[in-house]
Amino acid sequence: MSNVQPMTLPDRAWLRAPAWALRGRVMRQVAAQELRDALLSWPWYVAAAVGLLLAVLLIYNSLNFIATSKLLIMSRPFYLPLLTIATLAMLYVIAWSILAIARPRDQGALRVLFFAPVDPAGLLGGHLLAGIAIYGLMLVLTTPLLVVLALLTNLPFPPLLLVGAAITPVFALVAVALGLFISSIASTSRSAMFVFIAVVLLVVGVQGGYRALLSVPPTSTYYDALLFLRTLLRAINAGLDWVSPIALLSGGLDAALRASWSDLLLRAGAALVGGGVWLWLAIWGLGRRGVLP
Amino acid sequence: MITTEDLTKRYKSHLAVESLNLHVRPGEIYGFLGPNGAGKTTTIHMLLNLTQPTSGRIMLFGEPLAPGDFHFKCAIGVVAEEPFESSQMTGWEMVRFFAGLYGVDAPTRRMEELFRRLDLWDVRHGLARDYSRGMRQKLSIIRALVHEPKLLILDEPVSGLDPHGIRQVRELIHDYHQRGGTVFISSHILSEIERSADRIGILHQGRLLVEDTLVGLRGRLTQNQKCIIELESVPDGLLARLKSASYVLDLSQEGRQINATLCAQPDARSRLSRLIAEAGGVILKMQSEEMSLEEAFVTITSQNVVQLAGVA
Amino acid sequence: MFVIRDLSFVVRRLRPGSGRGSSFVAHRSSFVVRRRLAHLLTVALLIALLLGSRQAHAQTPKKERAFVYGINAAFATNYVGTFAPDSAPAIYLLADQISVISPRITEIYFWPITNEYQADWTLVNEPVPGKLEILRSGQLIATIDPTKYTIQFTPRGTTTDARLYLGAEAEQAQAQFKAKQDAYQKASGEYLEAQRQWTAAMDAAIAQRAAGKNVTVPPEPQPPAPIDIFSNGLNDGFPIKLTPGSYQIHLRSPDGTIAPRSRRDLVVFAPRRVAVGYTVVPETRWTTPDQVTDLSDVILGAPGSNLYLQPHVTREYLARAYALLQDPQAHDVETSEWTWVSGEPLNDGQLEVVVGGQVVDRRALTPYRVRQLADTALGYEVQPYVPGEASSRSSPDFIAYPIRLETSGMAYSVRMVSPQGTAIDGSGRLVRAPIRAAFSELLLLPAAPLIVGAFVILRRRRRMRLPRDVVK
Repeated sequence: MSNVQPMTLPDRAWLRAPAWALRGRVMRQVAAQELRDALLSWPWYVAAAVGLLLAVLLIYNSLNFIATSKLLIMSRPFYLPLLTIATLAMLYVIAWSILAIARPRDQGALRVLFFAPVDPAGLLGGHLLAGIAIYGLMLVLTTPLLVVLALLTNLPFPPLLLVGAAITPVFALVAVALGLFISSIASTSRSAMFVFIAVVLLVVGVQGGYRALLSVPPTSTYYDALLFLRTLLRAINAGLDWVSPIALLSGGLDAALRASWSDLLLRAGAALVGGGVWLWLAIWGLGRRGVLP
Repeated sequence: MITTEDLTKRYKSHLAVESLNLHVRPGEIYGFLGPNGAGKTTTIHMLLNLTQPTSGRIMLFGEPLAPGDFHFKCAIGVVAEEPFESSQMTGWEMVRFFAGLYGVDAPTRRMEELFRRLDLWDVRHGLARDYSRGMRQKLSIIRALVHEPKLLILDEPVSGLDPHGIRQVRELIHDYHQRGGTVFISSHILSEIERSADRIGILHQGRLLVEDTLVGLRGRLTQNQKCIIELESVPDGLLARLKSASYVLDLSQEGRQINATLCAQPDARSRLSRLIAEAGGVILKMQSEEMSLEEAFVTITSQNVVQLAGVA
Repeated sequence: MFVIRDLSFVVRRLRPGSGRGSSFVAHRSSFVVRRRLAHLLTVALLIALLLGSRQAHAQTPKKERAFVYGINAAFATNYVGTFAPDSAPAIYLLADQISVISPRITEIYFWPITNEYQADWTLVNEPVPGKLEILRSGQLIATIDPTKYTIQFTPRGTTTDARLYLGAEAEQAQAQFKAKQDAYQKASGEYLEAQRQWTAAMDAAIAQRAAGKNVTVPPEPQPPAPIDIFSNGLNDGFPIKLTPGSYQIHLRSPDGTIAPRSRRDLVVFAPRRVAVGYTVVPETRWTTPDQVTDLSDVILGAPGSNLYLQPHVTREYLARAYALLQDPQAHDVETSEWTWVSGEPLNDGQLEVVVGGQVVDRRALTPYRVRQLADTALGYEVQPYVPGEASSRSSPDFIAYPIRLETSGMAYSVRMVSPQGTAIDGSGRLVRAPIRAAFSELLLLPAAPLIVGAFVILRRRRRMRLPRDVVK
């Protein structure tokens, strides 16, 4: 500072720098920072531990059953334990992404971040990468422990399940992008959580409503009137299989176990498209809602 | 460096900023004055594209600012009160993170220099959220300077700082200015602006009342004189007669002493003397004082807004 | 007696009335003593009355004449009989197999217990004249004339083989079946007469022996061999064999119009996967075997256990389609589930035991008998069946390929090979004897992330601690 030199006016090179280059830089920085933040706090480790605990309980229950019943036909060994862990990991990243934008915006930290050359696309892209990495690392930590569990108990761990686990971050993309969209449009972090709960209730409501409508007898006065609604709910239900990250996850693991690569690719493609749409909506939503509290 | 043309921001029925025409020149320190709620922060948010103006135009570095632009922030450093509650970052990590966002390749030397200069070197590995308010403010300044910006925007830069900290920051800004940087300081602490600003804009209720150099502004505003008159005794009815005089702006009495603020009329003092004499008063002492910027600012913003707007 | 009258798609789901009314009477007998209990019982009584009245309503259903499609849906080596009333908008059939549908007028009534319509074939069962038209995406792709058909069923152990005859073959097969039936009836009559004569001869012989005479006992006549085949009779229907896809059908009446209420969707589907499954009979509970269906299924047995494998073909279908194949009114089925369905047994070939890619043993299909253990050793003992052995029954209890899990930690796989010695696709399965680890040992695994977390976070926190003189 003591070496005072006159500054020249800013050159205009940065004005011509491509937006994607700046965004790429922001995405890398934000992703690395968010990943660090997640790995330096307890919830990530607790989620992994709870997932493994449930997996251990499932396996131990099977071992107990074999001891008493002498025979167990285990369908897709470790599918359910892995699905449990992956689902928990996905719920963790959904919760994380729902607060990722809304909470710092509430606190005013998002405003400060935007003092730097950051735009919604770069920021949300960074969060998306971070969310996938947070999810992926949880599987990287837990899956080898499942293999250890398999070795300890002499249960087979299907290699195809590893392929399935490796592809599941693609399905996490949908979860993170959906969470970011909710976070971007919500007025506060609390309302973001409410929106998420409302979405979950809506999905449960559609499924429950469909089941309820199935039980309406053909002789009912309302049968014909409800037929359209039933068809609609059935279509929505079928559509949810291709939209819901949890449904995509279980379907993807199932396809991997069946070595049905076309099915797996189809689901991965649906996840990429779904994730892209949610991300685009999130960018649009953040642009609309803004970064100020 | 910064030019705004008829910049207006309206929130439903509330007009936050109205037809603002700012001109910040390269290499100067611009003091942006205004009481709380005047629209200073809204203006800064518009300059940084954090909120969109209802109407008007912004030119930064000679280029018009379009919605969605963010490249320009590479050349700007911003200091504002920052929340750190949810961050897991240390002070050092936070600055390094922002250096990364700005694309600074090797920030360590620069960071060390700034951390040492502002006495944060020993606590650099502490969690930023555990910092005191003053330390946070210093950290914010380091964050804003780490990429050596062309323009430094400071929103209440010395808030929360102790006198030593204020001096350190002032020196840092001074050095930055000496090296050719442009500084835009927004504050309601007038003494701070008075010490360092080359030019000043006064914002009140969303409107720019005055924009001038410090000397020019003082010249315009301090024509009002503060007059302290000590009398042998205060005759009955004198105060009422003084109050009704058109050249007396303000009046107060402390025993035999009368404090009067006179408007910028060349013969105001002599007319005042004459009026006292006519009322039977004997002047023992008459002393005039120039108004400080703070006194002028208060006068401008609290009493004579409409009148001074015309002056401006 | 041996003819399933008229149509095999007569599905009767009538259940005898349950005892709600009688339980109400039982409740009334205890309707005394405490007042609070009395109130509760009154409420129960009212509920029972309401339910009783509902049931009473259900027992007198309103019948109506209706157009329905009788369905004989081909499935593996058998046929499933069902029908589709108006409330079933779609008929489900398997691809590449001949199924038969038959338009009929019958009386139907709604049965609230199953939420479905039932048909009273005994009351009305009239064929509807016309030709069946099949459309795909609105385009007519086939017109089918009514054809004579019959299905003959042959029981094979626990399964049944069915064969469909069409046209002249159907008439011939039905004639042969009738001839067999007639021959059996004739032989039965002759057997009864011979039995009567033999009884009389035996009575006479007993009398002569009582009188001190030596008599020769006449040989007892043998009953005729039972008919091992069943038929659903000769009927008119439309045989359908299509590739997977969605179609529409309707009946074109002789006057050229579309028969009222004859429009239906037709969904033709195929299995997603075909494999070899196993029925696994554990020695300790041989009457309740488990099924191995999915290719990823693993057979886990306790150390020291003997298991017996019965291979069969297994197919994976969309659960909803499979349910609707059997009953087009079954709408309350999950839309996205898949289900494995066991098919015809595979009793030729051998079972190979493979360890580390090497075949270490080959097992042949072996007959077994089961002995129940008494006293404290209650359970079963499975022993090889030796025909003609004094203790053996006339036939084995089951036949299977044996495997054994000796020790904890044992691992191998099994697969079927054809009589020609080639491995059959989809027949390989893993067999394991798991190690029963202590729960406390297993808990170390979920603790691992917490240990890693504690290390990472606490180490960082120690580094991040601010000097004591720095206060907020």
